[in-house]
Amino acid sequence: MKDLTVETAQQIDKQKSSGKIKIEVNNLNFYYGDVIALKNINMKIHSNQVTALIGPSGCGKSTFLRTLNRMNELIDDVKVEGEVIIDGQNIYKSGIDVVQLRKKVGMIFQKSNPFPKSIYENVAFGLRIGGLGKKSKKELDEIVERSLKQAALWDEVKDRLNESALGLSGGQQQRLCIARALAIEPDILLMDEPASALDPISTAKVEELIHQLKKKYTIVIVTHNLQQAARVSDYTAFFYLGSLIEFDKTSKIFTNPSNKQTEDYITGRFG
Amino acid sequence: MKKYFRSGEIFIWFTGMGLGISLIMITGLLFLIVVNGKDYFWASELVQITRTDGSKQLGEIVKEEPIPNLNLPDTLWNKGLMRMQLKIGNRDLYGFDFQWIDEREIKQTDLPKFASTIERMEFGNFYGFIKEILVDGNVKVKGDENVADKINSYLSITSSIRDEIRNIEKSKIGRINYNIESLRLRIKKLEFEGKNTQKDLNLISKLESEIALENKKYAVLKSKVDSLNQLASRYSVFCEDVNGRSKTIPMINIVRVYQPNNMSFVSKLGFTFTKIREFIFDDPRESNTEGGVFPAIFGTVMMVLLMSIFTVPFGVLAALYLREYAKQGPLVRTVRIAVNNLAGVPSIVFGVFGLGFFIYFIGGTIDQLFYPERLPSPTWGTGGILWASLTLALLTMPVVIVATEEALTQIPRGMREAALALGATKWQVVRRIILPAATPGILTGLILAMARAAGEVAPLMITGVVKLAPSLPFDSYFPFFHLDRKFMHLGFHIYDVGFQSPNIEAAMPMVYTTTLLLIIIVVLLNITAMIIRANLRKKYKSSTF
Repeated sequence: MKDLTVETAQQIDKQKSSGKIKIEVNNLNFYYGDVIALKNINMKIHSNQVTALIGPSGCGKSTFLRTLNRMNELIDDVKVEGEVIIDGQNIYKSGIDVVQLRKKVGMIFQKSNPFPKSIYENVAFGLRIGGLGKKSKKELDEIVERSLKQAALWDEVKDRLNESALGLSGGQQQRLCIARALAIEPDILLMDEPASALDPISTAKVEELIHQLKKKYTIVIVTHNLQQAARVSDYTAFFYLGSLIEFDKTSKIFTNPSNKQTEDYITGRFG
Repeated sequence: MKKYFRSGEIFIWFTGMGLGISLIMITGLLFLIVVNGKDYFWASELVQITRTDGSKQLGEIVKEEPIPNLNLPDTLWNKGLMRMQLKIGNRDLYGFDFQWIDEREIKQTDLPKFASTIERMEFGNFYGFIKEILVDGNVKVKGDENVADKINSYLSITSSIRDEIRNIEKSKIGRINYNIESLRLRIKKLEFEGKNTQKDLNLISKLESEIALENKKYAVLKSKVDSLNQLASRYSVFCEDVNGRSKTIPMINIVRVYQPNNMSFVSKLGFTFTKIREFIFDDPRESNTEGGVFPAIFGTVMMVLLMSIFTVPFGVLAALYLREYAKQGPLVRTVRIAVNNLAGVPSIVFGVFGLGFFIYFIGGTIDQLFYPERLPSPTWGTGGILWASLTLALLTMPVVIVATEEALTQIPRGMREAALALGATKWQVVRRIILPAATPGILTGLILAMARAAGEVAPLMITGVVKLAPSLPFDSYFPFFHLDRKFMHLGFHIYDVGFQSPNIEAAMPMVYTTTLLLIIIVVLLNITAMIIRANLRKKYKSSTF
């Protein structure tokens, strides 16, 4: 009973802040070696909204997504210019703890990538490695259950939590990855084409899930599927050749784009 | 024809042929080894050959072959004449063990029922007839049948005496020697420190009195052994060889007696099992050509396990650094090429390095720092199982590094990214995701390393293997593992018995059996690792999606 009120209060709190800017990208340039991959990106991503990134292959949308939690640094010889401000703090400032950043900005990948461990251990992984203090078995159980419920997977796996996660179907694996990301309670979820390898039913489930999750999280999603972008997102950004061509409310982009290139892409004239 | 080439069918045949040839070679090798080694375990029949000139010969037929035409007069070419090699034993009487006999010289061959093979502690086998069993020089048993009945009960008396003597010598006298040696070293240490304080002098005289005490205990045991020897020497057997030359053999020198021509198949099978047990669990006799190879088995396995303990952690750490932490570039590439080339360096080079670095440098330094009182006789500055294992660990490390790196590259990038995106540090990713997933690959490296190490002989010869080690590197004296001790090794045993023993021909079956045993041990070690790997693979099989 008490939990419920706390949760409702949190929701109200979040709804109030939904007009707030969560991520602010200023003059972002990104290079792979000498090749420029992102050119002067400026963007304001709203809190508790779903922002879709669309564009043809190789346009830089995945690269952009990965700059938001500094996953691009794993590749040798990359360079970032400009700033990405999350909750008022530039994440490219020196002295930023990347590990803390990534706990705050969770990520779901195109290819589901569960660890070769049990379902339970997959979800608990982030908590076990986290410096979140020693959690009791009971607390862990609760968090695992809550995360799996949030990811709409609990009913399907509750009887086989100790079985290998690799025995799950593709759609279940992807939702497990979402549950795993949710377990560490990030603020922001980055999704890199989360449904591109899934069948229509699993895709529908993931999309439904995104609708649910945006109450609590700010979501940035990369997708190739324009219908999907139209269905799930509140804002849409169109990338082309490393530049942000247009960024606006989804309804506006899909009905009345102000840029010719965007219109061509959406109507299927190229890309 | 062209169609066959295009469809690739012919190349499938080639691959099949390649596999077939490998299989034939392996089974051929095993067959050869088993056939040649079986004489060692089988109670072969004793053939009595009467020559045309009336002289006789008794022994086991070792080999039969056609006589080459060139050794024959023209008229006898291609007539299929054979000659045979007979193991006639009785080295003390004849001076040699083997004799070739030409088919043309043979008048008659028999299998005398009571012909006996007497395995002795020295001079090899005696082939002949036991006529009498003597106690204190008086005839106790006479007649072929009676002797055959009674001989084993008499032998069990002497063999139990022999066991007791060995027990006293090995464990009791061994402990006394160990105590005396450690007391002596303590005295030496005190004298070396040279403080000459009253306290030290008192301690030395106390230790000396302890040594005297141990010596007294030794004298008691020694007299006990002497009396046992005297007791055993009362028993002996009177034998005749096939030509009637007589020989009296003290029973204490007899390991076993059997009459192969008088044995059923079942009892021969039982004999084989006794011999196999002796071979695996007993110490060698007669400069390694008889008896068992237990110390060599023990040394081989312990050396391989020690080597694994050293090579796996270092190899895995090196591979982790090269693949996960080091910035990929020309330097890392060079290191990688160097590591790969290291795997191809001749093993004797590693042996020489081990001798120079581990034994002379590290071992010598340890001796100077910790055991100066024992110098110039070295403690660690000489070959030992530790240095041999370290040398082999160095030799096999490239294999482990390469296999581990291979395994690391196989781990999907997605798995690392997923862990990093969850806020894991690099070390946590390595520790919790990469290492578990790479374990099967690491074990593959270990399997290859063990196979290589178990078969290596050259580097061991200069870093600690000996022909005959007086004691195992593991015993009941603190600290139980004596890594400074020299040890025996099956590979070296094969070399030694096959090429360095005084009686090479007699030792040949031993060589083949030891080879078979070495192969079996390598296979067993590998199978163990493979079972572990299969279990891990099941656990960590990477995503199929």
